[in-house]
Amino acid sequence: MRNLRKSGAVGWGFVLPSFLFVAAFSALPILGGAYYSFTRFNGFNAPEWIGLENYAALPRDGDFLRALQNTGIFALVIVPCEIVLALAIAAVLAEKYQNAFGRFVRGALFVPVLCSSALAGNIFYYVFSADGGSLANTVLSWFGAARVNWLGSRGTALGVICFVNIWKNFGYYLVILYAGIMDVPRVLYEAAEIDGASKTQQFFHVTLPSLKSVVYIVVTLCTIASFQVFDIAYVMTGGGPGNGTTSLVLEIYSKAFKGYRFGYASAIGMVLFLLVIAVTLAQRKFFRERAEE
Amino acid sequence: MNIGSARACRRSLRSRAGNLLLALLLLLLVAICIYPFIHMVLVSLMGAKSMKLSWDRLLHAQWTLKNYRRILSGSGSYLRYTLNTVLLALYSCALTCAVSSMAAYAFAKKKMRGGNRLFVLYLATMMVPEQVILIPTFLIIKNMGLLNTYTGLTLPTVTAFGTVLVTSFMKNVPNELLEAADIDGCGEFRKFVKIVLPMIRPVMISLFIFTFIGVWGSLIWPLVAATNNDMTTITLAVSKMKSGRSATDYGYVMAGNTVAFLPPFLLYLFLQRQFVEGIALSGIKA
Repeated sequence: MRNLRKSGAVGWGFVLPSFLFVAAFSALPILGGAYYSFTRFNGFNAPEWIGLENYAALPRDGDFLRALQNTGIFALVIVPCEIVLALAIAAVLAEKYQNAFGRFVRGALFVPVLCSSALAGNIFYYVFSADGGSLANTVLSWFGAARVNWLGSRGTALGVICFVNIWKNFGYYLVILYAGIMDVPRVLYEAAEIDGASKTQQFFHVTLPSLKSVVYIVVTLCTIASFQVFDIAYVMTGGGPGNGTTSLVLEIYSKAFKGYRFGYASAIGMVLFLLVIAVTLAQRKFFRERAEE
Repeated sequence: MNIGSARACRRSLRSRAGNLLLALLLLLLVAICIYPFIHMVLVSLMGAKSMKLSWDRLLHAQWTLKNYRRILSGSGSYLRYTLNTVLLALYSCALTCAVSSMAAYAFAKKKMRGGNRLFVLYLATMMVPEQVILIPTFLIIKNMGLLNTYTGLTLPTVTAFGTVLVTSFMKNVPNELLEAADIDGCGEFRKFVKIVLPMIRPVMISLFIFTFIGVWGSLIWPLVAATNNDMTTITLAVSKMKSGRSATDYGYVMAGNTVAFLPPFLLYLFLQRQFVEGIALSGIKA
């Protein structure tokens, strides 16, 4: 028994069930995905090794390039909007509304986080439908504006998809950032107050610097999530009009499960994976350097 | 009244107006977040076949549960989809909680050769988006003959996330307690069940919530692995509604949406504190 304990056999026994899951459904699939990306494979016959052919085809694939561009647009719009909105509201609630009103606001802003992205997409598909009776066009008519075919053209459709993403997810980051602000030691604010710092100055010179690690986590989570836009676009536009609102994940899905090009779709998956790693590392470096200042 | 107090008075007036504006702005945000759900429920309860709401319509509406009766009966019933999804979510929660708590106990409290390296592997797999491994996972489940089964839909939902989350919490369990149990001659498994599990209850509830909401709202995995109508999940059904023949049957669609929204919402109402604490924990410790 003592020997067992020393060699760590007991520990391994406890890890084993979890390890089997992680190995079979996380680690193995990554290797599999990397392998398939070098093959021609329709999901039925044996995969055929074709080297870098899939990757070589990517830069000439208009759908892929559009998906890459849209994914970039999603990240560039969604991440700053979501983080700034969540941070501003968290700061205001922590500063002024640590009361019943604040609790109510926090509770209410969290409700969209509960519904699935598909459900959010479905509700807002009707909110932004083209007819004059839709909620979005009704609001426009109050201001005397003509009705808009929101999901019918690429520009507005991209905007709507970004909006629904922000609407659905910012409450999640609000909870994390609010908890982070509550953890900032009160003495820092008292010291700043004595130095005559205004509330705005306190936010920029006390709150933000103390929140660095939390903001880093939130920005990283949010960026990774915005690279994975699928559900909302799938439900609202299906990637349309044309390929106007397609995303990398939509491309993976349609190339594999509509076009049976599993090898090629795996190559797109690897591009997405590398993108996630690159951005995560870049953000870590950025925040590390800031932390050293 | 001197000049100083007049200025202070003006400043306090201005700040009071500012506060009012701030509160109104927050209420506007609350409205934007909540109103779509209210709209959804109202349309689902009205007989009228339109999405448009007006005071006139609301005052003269014939309130009815007809849409719910329609959506919960017949073939392709939401009752079936709800049952499917509840079962899948509970299977996944049970597996995830059991497996993660055990592994976390070992990672945090047991000396294992190579344990740290394995934990780094766990962290690394969390970097990989689910969609990147969608194709290989699909093929594994397909080759096991488990497409369109509860088992096949559940197995890949058990990930390293749970273990990593619980491990960070497990470190707070005092070693003295475990040593005392050792002296009492308590077996490893009994020690785990009797001492460790009760101490990590809060994080287990958080993990349960995350897993439940995650499985409930998951779209892409059921989309490829549950192609059989009998295995459809509620979120998958919601995603299909606007392209079917029911697309302009607004009351029907919104009744479906409401049914899909209610379980996570009720879970939130009952476990609000645990939701918030769990998310804050995962954000700060991640």
